[in-house]
Amino acid sequence: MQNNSLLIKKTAKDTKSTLLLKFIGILLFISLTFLPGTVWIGACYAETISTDDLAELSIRELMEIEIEITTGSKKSQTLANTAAAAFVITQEDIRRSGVTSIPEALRMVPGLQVARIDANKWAISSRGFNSRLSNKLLVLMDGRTLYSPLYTSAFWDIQDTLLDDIDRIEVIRGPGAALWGANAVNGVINIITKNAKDTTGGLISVGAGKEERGFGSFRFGDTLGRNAYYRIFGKYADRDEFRYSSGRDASDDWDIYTLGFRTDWNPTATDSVMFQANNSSTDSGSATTVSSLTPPYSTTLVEDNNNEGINFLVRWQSILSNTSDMILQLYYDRTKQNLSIVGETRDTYDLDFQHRFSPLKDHETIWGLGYRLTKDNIKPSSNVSIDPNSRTDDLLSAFVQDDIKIFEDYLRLTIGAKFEYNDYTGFEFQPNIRALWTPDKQNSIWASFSRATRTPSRAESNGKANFSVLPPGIPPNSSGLPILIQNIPNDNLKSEILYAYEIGYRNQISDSISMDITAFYNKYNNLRSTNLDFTAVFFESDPLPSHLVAPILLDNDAHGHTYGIEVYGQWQPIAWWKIKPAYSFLHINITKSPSYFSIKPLDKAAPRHQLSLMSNMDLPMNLELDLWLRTVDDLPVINIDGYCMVDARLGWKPTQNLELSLAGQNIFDNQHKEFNDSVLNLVSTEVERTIYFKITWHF
Amino acid sequence: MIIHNQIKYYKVFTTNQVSKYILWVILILMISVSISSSLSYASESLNTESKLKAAFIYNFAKFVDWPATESKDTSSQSFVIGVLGSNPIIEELLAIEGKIIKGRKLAVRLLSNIKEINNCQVVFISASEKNNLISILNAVKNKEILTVSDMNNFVGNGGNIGFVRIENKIRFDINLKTAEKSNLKIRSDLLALARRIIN
Repeated sequence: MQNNSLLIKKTAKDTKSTLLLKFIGILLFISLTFLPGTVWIGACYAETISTDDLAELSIRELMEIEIEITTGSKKSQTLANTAAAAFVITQEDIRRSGVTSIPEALRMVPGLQVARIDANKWAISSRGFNSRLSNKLLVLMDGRTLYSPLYTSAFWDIQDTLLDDIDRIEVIRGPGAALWGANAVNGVINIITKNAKDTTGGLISVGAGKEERGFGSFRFGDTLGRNAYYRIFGKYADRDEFRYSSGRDASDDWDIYTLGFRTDWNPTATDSVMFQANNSSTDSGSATTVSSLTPPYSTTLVEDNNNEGINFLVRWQSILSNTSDMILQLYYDRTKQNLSIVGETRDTYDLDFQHRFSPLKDHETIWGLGYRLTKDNIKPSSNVSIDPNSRTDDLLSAFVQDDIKIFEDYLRLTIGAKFEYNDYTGFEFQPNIRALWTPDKQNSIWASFSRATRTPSRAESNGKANFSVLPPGIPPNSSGLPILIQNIPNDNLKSEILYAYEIGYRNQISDSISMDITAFYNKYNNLRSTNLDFTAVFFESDPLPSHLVAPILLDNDAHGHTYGIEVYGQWQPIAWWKIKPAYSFLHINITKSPSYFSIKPLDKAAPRHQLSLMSNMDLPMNLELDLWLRTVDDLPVINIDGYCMVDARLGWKPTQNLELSLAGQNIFDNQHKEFNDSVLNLVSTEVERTIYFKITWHF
Repeated sequence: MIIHNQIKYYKVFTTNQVSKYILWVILILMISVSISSSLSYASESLNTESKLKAAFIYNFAKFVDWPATESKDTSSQSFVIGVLGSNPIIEELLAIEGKIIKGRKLAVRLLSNIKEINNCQVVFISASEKNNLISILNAVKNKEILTVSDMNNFVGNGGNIGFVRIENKIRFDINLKTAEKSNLKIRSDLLALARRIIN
């Protein structure tokens, strides 16, 4: 029966491949025939604002013009013009928050759930479904995906760069799949580092304190001949372990080393070439519960896991005319990571191309093609095995999006879709439609409808994992044999499907007050379900000793919906004081089939209410005082009580080039737990108070 | 076992045929795009940052006085903005060439030699000239030439007006001391908008 269905599936895939070949062939034909023409048409309809128009503005007006945002749509746009729930964390926000890692900085974003599982692991997600293996959020750094296909999630303990060299972090809540592809279901995070042109000169930053035992970073940038710049940077951080609820020290200390290089070159006025290379090594301590078939049936494995990453990326960007440009990007990434009960070495090769042009007046079209090849090698353990041990997968994608000015600049419509072909589920179609209405300079209203999919992970399709062992003779196991509860892979899993409805409103009430509100309704189908089936228990004598296996079967029979509201604002009552409030509300309703046995009720592990209040004050004598208060609601499904955290930072710039700061996180609380994550059998610890002193010197 | 064989068979099919074919398609597409673009359609920079900076420079000129130059009758001569080093801003400045500044027609020159600096009222120094900055600033010393740049710490090193990017917006610093040394009068309206002023 199983063989038959597999055969049918195979044939179906073959047909899809042929279709895809035809599709690509047609695309090739169209582009070769029309491309030179379209570029020419594009050049005829110059529509963007000219330097001449800008020169007629006053300096005060020029100072209000924003330069760019790229994540919302793959081209540059200002925030007020994005028909999506976009949020930008700027370099200044990062500096003044006093955070020392990227995941901590993400706590600023309304509508994102950020919880620290232990000193070096985070559960981060957008609009629910949070866990360490959050699988509906796409994360990128400078266009390189940080998302691992093993569990279709990003591992935050191995992502780092020099925080001072981050230009901004752009976050889109809600689907970005029409541009970014599968798995950009509930959100996209794009970490963008500065152009090497903006980081000439030297920087040395060192610090130490409680929890932050010691950290140091350096950067040096300069010109590299005419029109070319480079920078080289390095970073080291040694973090202390947190504590268990009992107060006992855990073993989750975290060391990270990063070394990187970036060069930006403008061979002509309209071409730019960027090359970057990064190498990082982390040691993340963790405690994992490991089950065994012999007494004591469950032990805690304490390990220091070494992870390594190296990547190279080259990007060529060319402006073809007033209304058209193109980007070609190629990267290679090798990640070797150890998750205690399973190890992964992965090589990824990725090629991306995109072209923007204006085929007709009032239309701006952007299309692109992508190819990714990823090859892994899994190191199994007695608890997890993945079969086959090594697998190579291809991902082909094409997207097209048209931005139409329906009524001058007041009403714009964006229609786009991504077509993807992957080795797990075959063809995926992810369209969206967005409308933006800007009645005046102060107000904008947008609405969107999208379909996005989350493809099955390598582990779901091929991985067998021991969840726990029920000792013989102890209830609920009345048999004389140990019962092994084991996850059984399913390589017939379908993609999870989202239909998202969003609406948003932005208002620049006055020069000093602005607000942004988004409401969404998400409908999910084919959600992956985990069904512990005691009726399917079977006997197994390999490995010894003989035991019974109670299988956890994976299927797509859960479905449900979520809805929520995300609000944030900015208020500057006086020139030296900025206040930024943010609030989000989230409701999750997931329905499973009757056989569902709730082993990991993580679907609902997202707070219903979250509140954040930031205050940045510029005091006399070049002093800066920053305070940040956050409250997070209870997470009853994983026994987490709500908590309130206060961060504070006092900075002083005695001269233009020197900055001293004293910062603390969670300053009013000894320790609190933020998450319990049973996936990968990880033992969580409690977040402690962090206090550190830092000196930064620019030269 | 049978299942595995089938998976392998299927994988061989995709990797070897579809992907190679697609790779070729992508390559051909890229080549076609680059050929079509190299057919040299008048390319004007889209870079809003350069556009903004060009507009800023044009506006700065309205708030600065060149007393010695302006005392003579110069209405027949052009108001010259020179650019040292290669920078996309040249394209944007050329786009506004011919506009009127203080009754004079704007002319934009790409300076290949530091000696050409003497005919300019404003000089934009590209960050690529960072290593030559001292000799450039020496060359404009005691001359009525306004120096503008977007390089790091330009005003700290003795330049007159330096652009700084704060978040996504453009700000500028002014070194009033060196401007006064060059006999330039920067009006208070402009000073009021500067992020930082060095006295």
